[in-house]
This record gives sequence, C-alpha cells and structure tokens, in this order.
Amino acid sequence: MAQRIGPRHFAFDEWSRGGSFLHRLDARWKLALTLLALLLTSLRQEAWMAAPAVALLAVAARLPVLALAWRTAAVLPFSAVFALMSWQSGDPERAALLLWRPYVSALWVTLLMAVTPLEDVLAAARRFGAPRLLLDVMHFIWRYLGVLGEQAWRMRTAAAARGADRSFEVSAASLAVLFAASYQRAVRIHRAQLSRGGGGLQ
Amino acid sequence: MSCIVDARGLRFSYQPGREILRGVDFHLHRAESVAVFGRNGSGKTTFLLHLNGILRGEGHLRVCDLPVAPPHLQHIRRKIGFLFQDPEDQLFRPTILADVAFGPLQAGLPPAEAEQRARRALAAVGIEEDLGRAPYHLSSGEKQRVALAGILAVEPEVLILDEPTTHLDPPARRALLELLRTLPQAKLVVTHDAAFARALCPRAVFFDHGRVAADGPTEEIIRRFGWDLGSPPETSPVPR
Repeated sequence: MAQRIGPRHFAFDEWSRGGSFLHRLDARWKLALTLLALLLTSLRQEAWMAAPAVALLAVAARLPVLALAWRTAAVLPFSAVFALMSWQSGDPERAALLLWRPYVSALWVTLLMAVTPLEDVLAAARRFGAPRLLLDVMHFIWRYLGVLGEQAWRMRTAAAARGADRSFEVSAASLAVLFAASYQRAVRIHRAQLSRGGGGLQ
Repeated sequence: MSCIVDARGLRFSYQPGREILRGVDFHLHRAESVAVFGRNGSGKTTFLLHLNGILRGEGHLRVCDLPVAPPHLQHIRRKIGFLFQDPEDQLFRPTILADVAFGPLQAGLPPAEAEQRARRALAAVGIEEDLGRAPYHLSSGEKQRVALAGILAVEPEVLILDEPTTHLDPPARRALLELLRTLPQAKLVVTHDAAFARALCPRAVFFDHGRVAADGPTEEIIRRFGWDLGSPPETSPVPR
C-alpha cells in the first residue's frame, strides 16, 4: 500500500463517499436501523453476536474492517475503567458486559459514519426531530476535530523533521501546544461568527 | 466622498500596561480601496477588529455614521464584511450553501430569501455547482471564495480582508484580485503582498507601534518603508 503523504484525519470522509449498496441506501433508513441496533445492543445480552454481522456489512461495503475495528477501539479506555471496577468488586460477568456492549454499540455507529456522509446523517436526524442545537454542536465537533487532527499531523511532521522521537515528553509537550492552539482557534472562530452577525451556535 | 469609517485617537490594550493601539487616526471613504501595511504586531488586525466592535477600545470611532457600540453592533456587523486570514476559521456550516446563507439568516431574512442571496453571492465568486458539498473539502482558493461569498451575501458596504492571499497560489491570487476589482464596496486590505496591494489599492496606510505612521499613495508607502522585496526602505520607521 502506498504511504500516505498527507494528514490522515478523517478517513470517514473518504470512506463515506463509496458506491456500495450500503452507501446508496437512504440516510434515514441507515440512521433508523443504527438506532434500532443500539437499542437491541443495550437490551440483549447476546447482542455481542452482532459484531461479526457488522464486519460482514463492512466487507460488503468494501470498507477496511480492521481499520474500522481499530478506530472503534477508541471507546475501550473509557469503558475499561468501569469494567475494571466491576471486576475488582467481584463481578466478572458485568465487567465483560461493560467492555463488549459499548464496543459493539460503537461499531454500529462507526459503520454508519463510514457509509454515510456526516451532512446526510445530520439531515436525517433533523428529519427525525433531533434538536438543531445538538446537531450543530455535533457538526462543530466533527468539523474541528478534523482541523485539529491536521494541525497535530503537521506538528508531528515538523518534529520528526527535526529528529524528535515519539517519547512521552515530546508527545506531552506537543499536546499542550495543541491545546493552546485549539483555544486560540476557538477565539478566532467565535470572532468570525460574531462578524457575520451570529452569537455563537443558535 | 462621504466618510464610512472615521477613527480618531483610538487606543486599546489587551492587558494593562501594554498598549497595542496608541491613538489611531484613520478614515475611509465610500468605494475607496486602502491597503494596510505594517510589521507583525503593529496593531493592524487589532484595529480592524475594532471596526465591527469585536474589540472595543477608547477614542472616537464611527462606522457608517454610527458609533461602534451597543445597540448598533449587529447593524454595523451587517455593514462590514470581514474576511479572516484563515478560511478554516470562517467556514463552519455543513454545506457551502448553508455556510454562505448563515449571514443572511442571522440578519433575519426568511430562509428562502437567504438561500437566494447565498446563491447570488456564490455566483458572483464563480461557484455555482455542487453547493451541497462540505466547504472544508475545497482547495484553499475555493475556500477563500466561499468565505468571501459568505460576507458578500449580507451585502456589506465595507469589505475588510485580513491577509487574503496568504494561502493562495499565484493563479488563485490573480483570480481573487480580478474578483475584488469588480466589487463596488469600500475595501480595507491588510497585506504583506506589495504586488497585490499595488494592483488593488491606490492608497495605503502604514501601521507602526500602534499608530498610523504614514498615509498616502500605495507606491510611495511601499517605497518609503521598503515593503517590496526588491527595494530597501528609504526611511526608518517611526522610533519607539
């Protein structure tokens, strides 16, 4: 596989513009089915069996299954904290539930975002009556996570060009700078909104 | 020509004891195009942010015959179209059309009319197809044009452009220059791009240490302060 030269942020933007049957399905159906899947996952113990089904759907949609599974694993550190607490309190079954249930739920959402452009998901949610403010906030987060991701990639590239290693010290310092830069960007975005007559999200 | 921006003795500090603007005197007339030069940190952008009330300092400042203070701020912000340096900061709606329609909607226009204004503004900058695309997938030049359409859609009387050519390649710079020449609004252009300034603005001001150190024909300002790579400054800037 050729090495990517540019920033790797938001593979979802690329994946979501494929041509498979899943991509072509109306976003409202996909959102409704995902919500149903999430409900079943939260209610049924055996819903973990949906994970292979998600993998099959991803294959059918010509998506990289391992990459999807890896990105979904981002939820594990959060659920692992609670799973560990349950384990230590002597409830291993609950600990297992606290690990796989969030992961399988996140898999469904990851699949949805990988086969549906964000704009379509938000439009579908709007049609279902989701509050506009909530959708605006979600869009903002998605949009500017991408921008921050690009900035982080540029910082990492610049650091590597100067011989920096991937040590904790370098990463922590870069994260602090990124945090400060994010704050500055937030100020500029707010000013841009004010200049166009907005008062922030409405 | 009537005065559309009238600033006298404008002062501002971000923090006590560190004045950024030290008595700025500046005026802009209708349909006039003025380049704003100055070193980084000389107060150019800080001054511009006063014109639409984002920052509020001390001194006399009127825009479109209104004091830049509540309750006039929303009205003034519709009169001033501010194009920020980085279009990433300015494009925050899901689609091109939604982003350009943001300003008219904030101004209270009905959605149908806001969309019409947005389409007209996009046509003016040469973007008429695929308006459902996300604006952040565009090239730098296209983003700049969409951001410009976003401010044109509210039909401002003054355009403020903060280093508009920073992210643009030469063909995109040329396209932006040709576009700006067709727009009738008064323009204030902060730029380090001497060629761009020469081509667009007959008049220029030079900011130095929070004041307007010089105000005159663009070529004269460029030559006097060496604002062109090909020539050194004829005089030293105003001492601290």
